[in-house]
Amino acid sequence: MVGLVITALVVAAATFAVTFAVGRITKDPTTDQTYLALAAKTKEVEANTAENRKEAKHLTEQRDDLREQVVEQRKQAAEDKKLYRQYVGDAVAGKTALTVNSISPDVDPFYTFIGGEGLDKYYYPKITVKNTSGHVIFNASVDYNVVGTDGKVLVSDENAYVSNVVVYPGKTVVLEGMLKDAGFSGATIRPTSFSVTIPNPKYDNSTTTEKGQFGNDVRTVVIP
Amino acid sequence: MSRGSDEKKPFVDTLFDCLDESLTALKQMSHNRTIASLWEAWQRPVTVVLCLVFLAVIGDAGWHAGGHSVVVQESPRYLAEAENLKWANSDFEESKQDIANRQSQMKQASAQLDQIKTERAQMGQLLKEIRQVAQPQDSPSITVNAIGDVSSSITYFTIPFTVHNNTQNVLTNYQVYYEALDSNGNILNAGYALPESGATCEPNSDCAISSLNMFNPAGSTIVPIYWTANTANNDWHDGYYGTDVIRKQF
Repeated sequence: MVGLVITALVVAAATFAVTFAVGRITKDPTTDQTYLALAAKTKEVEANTAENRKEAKHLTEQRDDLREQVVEQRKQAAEDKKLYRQYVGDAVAGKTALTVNSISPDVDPFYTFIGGEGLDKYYYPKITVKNTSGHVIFNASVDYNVVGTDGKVLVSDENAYVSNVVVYPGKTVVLEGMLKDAGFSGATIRPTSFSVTIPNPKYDNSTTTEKGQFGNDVRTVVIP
Repeated sequence: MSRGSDEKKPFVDTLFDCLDESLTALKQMSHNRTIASLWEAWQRPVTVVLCLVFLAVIGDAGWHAGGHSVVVQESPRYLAEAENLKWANSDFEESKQDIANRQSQMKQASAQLDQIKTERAQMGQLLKEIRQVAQPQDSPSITVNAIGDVSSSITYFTIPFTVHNNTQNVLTNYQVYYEALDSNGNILNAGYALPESGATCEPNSDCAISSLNMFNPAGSTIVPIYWTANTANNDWHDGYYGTDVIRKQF
């Protein structure tokens, strides 16, 4: 009986061992839930990667387009700056559209030449102004007063002007006027106001007039 | 049937023998009709069947235990798949970095573009004006063909100009306005040249005009800027020359 039991146990153990080995060998890990979850995760990641690459390609095209625009804009900006440097001077914009640089109260050269014999004396004031309007100027005019040593205005609203010119920003232009002398020696020429003709920013091929007043710090000159 | 003969026979033969004996015993049991004799008759086949069932159960348990004993996470297929996932994650991170890089590059390019556009916009109106006055006029009524040498009197300086009448009309009044520029482009003087009193300019012909000015042009450059032209019928025209106009350095 004992022998039978031992035999049965051996047979059982052998059976278990053999089937255990067969079960282990024939186990397919790809059917396991753990493996399936891993494979699904891989697929999901690969799908996301593909989506990202598609997006990256789209962004690359947009980036390249922007870079092309930058190159084109830089090229045009370089042309702009070249043109700007060619025509425009320094300090193109100021407090007023015109900035008085200097005033020269010249006497009529013919009067000087003949020594003033039998002629009225005229001054030909030359007012050099800088275009600080930020625009091209076609015409410019400056009104000035002649102020006596006591501060009294001897003559008002005299005028010096230039017309049919092209004054680029930052450049100067000489305005010329004519002033009949009335004992102005020692008096001061003080610019008071100005007007300029500039292109009309709203309409092509048209102009507009800009007017303004000079401040108290405007440059003046004493008539010799 | 002895045990010795059982041991020599294959298992299947033994099984059928047992069943034969069981049937024989069943017949005897039908004669004897006793439980003892019934058990005597069925003892061996039942034992055999139970043994087989037991072995099947053991085998099944062994087979499942064998399957479960495999650690999937350590299997080559799983490890290979894990490696795939690792590379997939690497690719994914790389693709995310690509997007981040592109977005950064786009932001950088956009900022550059905005900056350039802003700079250009600040100069835009002024450059538009400059281009407008710099461009050659399509068909001025009179063009300046030549600027002559200056001559002077006591206080005046005369500059002769030769202009060409581009129209099919006789011009009765025609003028050219000019600037005298220094080397920096500043305007030292502005003047104009006109024909002698009563002079006319025939169609498609050259005509002389001159400027009388107290300004000494020595050292300056005379640049024609603007023209006017009128006919006897008051067909009046004017315009600005472009920067390609003829000019003369004195």
